[in-house]
Amino acid sequence: MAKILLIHQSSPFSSATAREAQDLSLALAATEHEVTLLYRGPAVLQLLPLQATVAVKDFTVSQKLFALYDIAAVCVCQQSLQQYQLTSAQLRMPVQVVDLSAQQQLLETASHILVH
Amino acid sequence: MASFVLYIQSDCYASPVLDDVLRFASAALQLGHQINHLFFYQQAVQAICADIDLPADEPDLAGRLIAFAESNQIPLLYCATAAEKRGFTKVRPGFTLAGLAEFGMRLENTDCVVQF
Repeated sequence: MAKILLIHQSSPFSSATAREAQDLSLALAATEHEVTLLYRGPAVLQLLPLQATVAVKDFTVSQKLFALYDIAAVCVCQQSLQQYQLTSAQLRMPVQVVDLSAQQQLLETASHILVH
Repeated sequence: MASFVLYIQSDCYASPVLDDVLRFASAALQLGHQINHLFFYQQAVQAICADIDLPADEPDLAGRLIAFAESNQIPLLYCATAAEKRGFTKVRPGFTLAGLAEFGMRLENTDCVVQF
């Protein structure tokens, strides 16, 4: 079992990147790795409940599987939330809001890091 | 001595990413490290396409990578779902179909994952 940090930094629907990164996150958790997710920049929008339907598949509904797949932690960059004028209460699920030093800690403790 | 997995996800169309991968992999082997496998995901699955018809003055980077992997017995794996969704169904000899779960399981005995 490896400690894997997946850093998500893509907006949800502008390309397939966010969707496939989420699929990978779930697959790594399903194969018994300790998976931590860190959402930064436009990727914080992936965690917002949708207000309207989108033209592509809404992959964000699968985030309800995070708990079932034993994702160790869902972390969100504090600065990014501020940038997008959001609070963690607006997000789809309870998250850990992390400042830069906490993010550095995540980087240091992970054995593998993947960025999308 | 470390064991590596190379995870390739960026767009490899007309970009030097496959050459970056090749140079990194050759250097790692030269230094006595081990490359467990290469895994192609997201836009990088384009590398598997059998139907790409390159003009004579363009280097066939995927071809070079296939030759390198063959002579060093390094598996070239790709995510079948990512490829099929993009319509990449004719696969160039040298690539092996895999899934995200297999990628996860194969990380078990890996020291370092390097993302391209």
